[in-house]
Amino acid sequence: MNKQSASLKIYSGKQTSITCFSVENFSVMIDDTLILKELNLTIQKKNIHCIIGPSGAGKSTLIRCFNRICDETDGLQTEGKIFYDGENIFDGSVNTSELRRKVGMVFQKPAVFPKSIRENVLMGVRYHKKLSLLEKNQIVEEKLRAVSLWKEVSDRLDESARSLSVGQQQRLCLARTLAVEPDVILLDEPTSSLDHVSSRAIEDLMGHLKEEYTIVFVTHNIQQAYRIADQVTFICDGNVIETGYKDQLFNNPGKKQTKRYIREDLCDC
Amino acid sequence: MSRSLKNRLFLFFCWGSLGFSVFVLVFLVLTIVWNGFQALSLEFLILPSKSFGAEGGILYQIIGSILLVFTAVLMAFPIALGTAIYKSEYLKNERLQRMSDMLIYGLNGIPSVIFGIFGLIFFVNLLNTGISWFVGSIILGIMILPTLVLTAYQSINSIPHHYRESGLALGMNRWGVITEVLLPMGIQGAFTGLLIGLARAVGETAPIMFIATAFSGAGIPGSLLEPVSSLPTHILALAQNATDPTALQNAWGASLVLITLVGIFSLTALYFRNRYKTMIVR
Amino acid sequence: MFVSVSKAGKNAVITSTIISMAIIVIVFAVIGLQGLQAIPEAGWSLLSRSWNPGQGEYGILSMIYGTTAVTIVALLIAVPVGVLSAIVISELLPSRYRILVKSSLEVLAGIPSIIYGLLGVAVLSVLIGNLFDLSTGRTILAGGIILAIMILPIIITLTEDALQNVPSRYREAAKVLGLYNYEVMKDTILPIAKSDIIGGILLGLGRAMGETMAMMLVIGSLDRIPDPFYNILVPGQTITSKLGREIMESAFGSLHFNSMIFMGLLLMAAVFTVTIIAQRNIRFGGRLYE
Repeated sequence: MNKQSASLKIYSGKQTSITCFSVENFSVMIDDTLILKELNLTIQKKNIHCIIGPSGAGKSTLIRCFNRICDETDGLQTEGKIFYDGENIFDGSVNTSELRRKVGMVFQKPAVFPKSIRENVLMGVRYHKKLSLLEKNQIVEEKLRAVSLWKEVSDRLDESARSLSVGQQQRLCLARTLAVEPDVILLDEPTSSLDHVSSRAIEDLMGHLKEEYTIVFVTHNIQQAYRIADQVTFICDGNVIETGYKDQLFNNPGKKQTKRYIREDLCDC
Repeated sequence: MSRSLKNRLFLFFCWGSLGFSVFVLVFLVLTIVWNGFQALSLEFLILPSKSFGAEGGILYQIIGSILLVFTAVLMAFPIALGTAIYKSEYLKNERLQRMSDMLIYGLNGIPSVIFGIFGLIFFVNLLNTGISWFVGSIILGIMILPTLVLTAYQSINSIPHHYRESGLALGMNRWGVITEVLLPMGIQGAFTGLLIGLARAVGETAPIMFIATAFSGAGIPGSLLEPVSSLPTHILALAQNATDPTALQNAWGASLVLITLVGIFSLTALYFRNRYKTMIVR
Repeated sequence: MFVSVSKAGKNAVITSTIISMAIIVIVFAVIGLQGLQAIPEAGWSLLSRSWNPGQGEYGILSMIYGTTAVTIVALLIAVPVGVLSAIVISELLPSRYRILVKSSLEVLAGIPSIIYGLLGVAVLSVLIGNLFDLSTGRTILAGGIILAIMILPIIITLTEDALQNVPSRYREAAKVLGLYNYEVMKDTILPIAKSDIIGGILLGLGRAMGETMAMMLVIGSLDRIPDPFYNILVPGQTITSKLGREIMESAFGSLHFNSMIFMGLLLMAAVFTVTIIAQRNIRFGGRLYE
């Protein structure tokens, strides 16, 4: 296809270097403004794939297309295809509810529902499956452990989720997403609203989760991407400037703009 | 005239206006309370009226008013909530949004006497219901519908987008997001609107004086098609005999009771609205 | 299973919306159809000055004049007092008092109109009668004053909102140039807030035109245009007062009845227009009244 995926194939040392998402000539227009310009990109399975770039580059727009939540934006039109599991997710016949079960999402601002912690965790999964009481309790404990919240909240599962700190709320949102048992987790700048300590906690979680899930992580914090990513894509002004393995991109970037952005956090595309 | 002098004159008139406004409005409330207090007694509140209101109490008027407004709100609230949900979550066409806004605000401005004669023509005469308290509730419900719709709409619409998207991202469909996420969060604001509607409806005279109330002989209605007494119409009848001191005194007493009811509803609404605002800010 | 609940839910909200929209159409239709029946029977005589059911005369001009007169008096009082008061509240008062004043105004706006009527007939008209040595204090002036008091909270609150919505950088820019408060208001703030303020005044206007109970008790119920026309110390008649007093005394469907409905139709159309124009300028703010 192009140089980028060729280089990915050469460097693939992982056992499961199968494609999770394949973006083909994908463009997005919002109200007459072209946001994403004929992007081509591949996301591998069981990887942490970070998307970096300056504000307004289109990173959020792109990630929101992976689970079709972009449909909620007024005036948004797309062209081109995104393949997940062999299917073009923008095809009219796709069941978005099922897609979103498989491709979960955590937002920048934690949106805990006005219910108890337990109910928040179960909120999504009980739509997709009928569960017995035992199964429900199992899921709650399992997922809260997976996000390292269990010790902190196990004694107050029935209290309102609003009583948690922002960092805890964000982890709760992650647990809620994990409960529906997705294959992919999309995260749109999940630590922007958090303090330093909570941010690191989330980053540590990413390391554990990537063994089971494919993770796509949008961030404007270059150091964060360096800490957690396996692969990195640099997007600027709606174009993919460069994509590749983390070490390669950070230590030996191919493009001038990439080098400049990584060094100086500036991009004048 | 110097600049400084003009400025001082301006400030004088400004503060004077505020002082005048405050004075008038305080005088108003004091007059009502002072005069009303003199008419109050336990008998006044819990006994029915006799001799065309010149004697006795206002028990049936209180009951009638409460019956009318609670029924009105019971009927109007579900319709208002449904309309608010539709406008906020389903309706995407801009022109329809503006048109529905126009209709709602228009309905809100219509003089109350027009509602009264609408009820007179449509229900009492065309549908031949006669004087009926239930029809009165319907008319009151129509009157407060815009208030209920607008508060419920604002309450639901102002919930930030990422809550909706979080629900959808979990695979919920739109109706699920509405019932499980938006309504629990928005219901308190909508409830404030309900209280405001109650406050407004309980004080209205014109919509019901032709079609729902009778001045004498109306006790607790036994069916939907009977008349009822109410506080505002009672005050009206008494005020038309303002020269008779007892009638006048009873009018003040009834007014005080009415204002107390309005005050209870309004202050509860204000309380809820402030609590709700601080919750959203958090 | 979820699909059918979801469909039922969606249908329910659509039905509610249709009902809401249909209501105002029905109200207009019913009043309109009934009122317009007066035209073929009475024609232009509806616009004459004499209202005399006993002799088959149904001229509504006196009522139209009365409504106009009390509204003008009310605005002449309430607009200056209201706008200036709002300036104080928004610009000059320390903020801890603002909330108290604003909440009080909202509650006052909720006082039922019948109580204003009672105050008018028991206190104000007596006052006016004594002050000007009249045979009765129930006059156009009394009506205008009561209306002014009734719409004062609306004008104050909406003007104050309008002023608050002007970003502070305009005030600051004017003040650092050395302008006095008066000049800041006149040349900078008021022009920006103008359309919102006018919206508030229009809403007050609509309320004043449509007020019934207070007018019934205070206007004096005399179906005549005063002579000279600017004399406000005599009784008069408004559309609303006439409707309130006489509609039950006419037979349904008679010319008497229809002529009054026709008056109501004119009033409704006028208030609707004013309200719609006002609405273009104001955003709904969750207030207790509107």
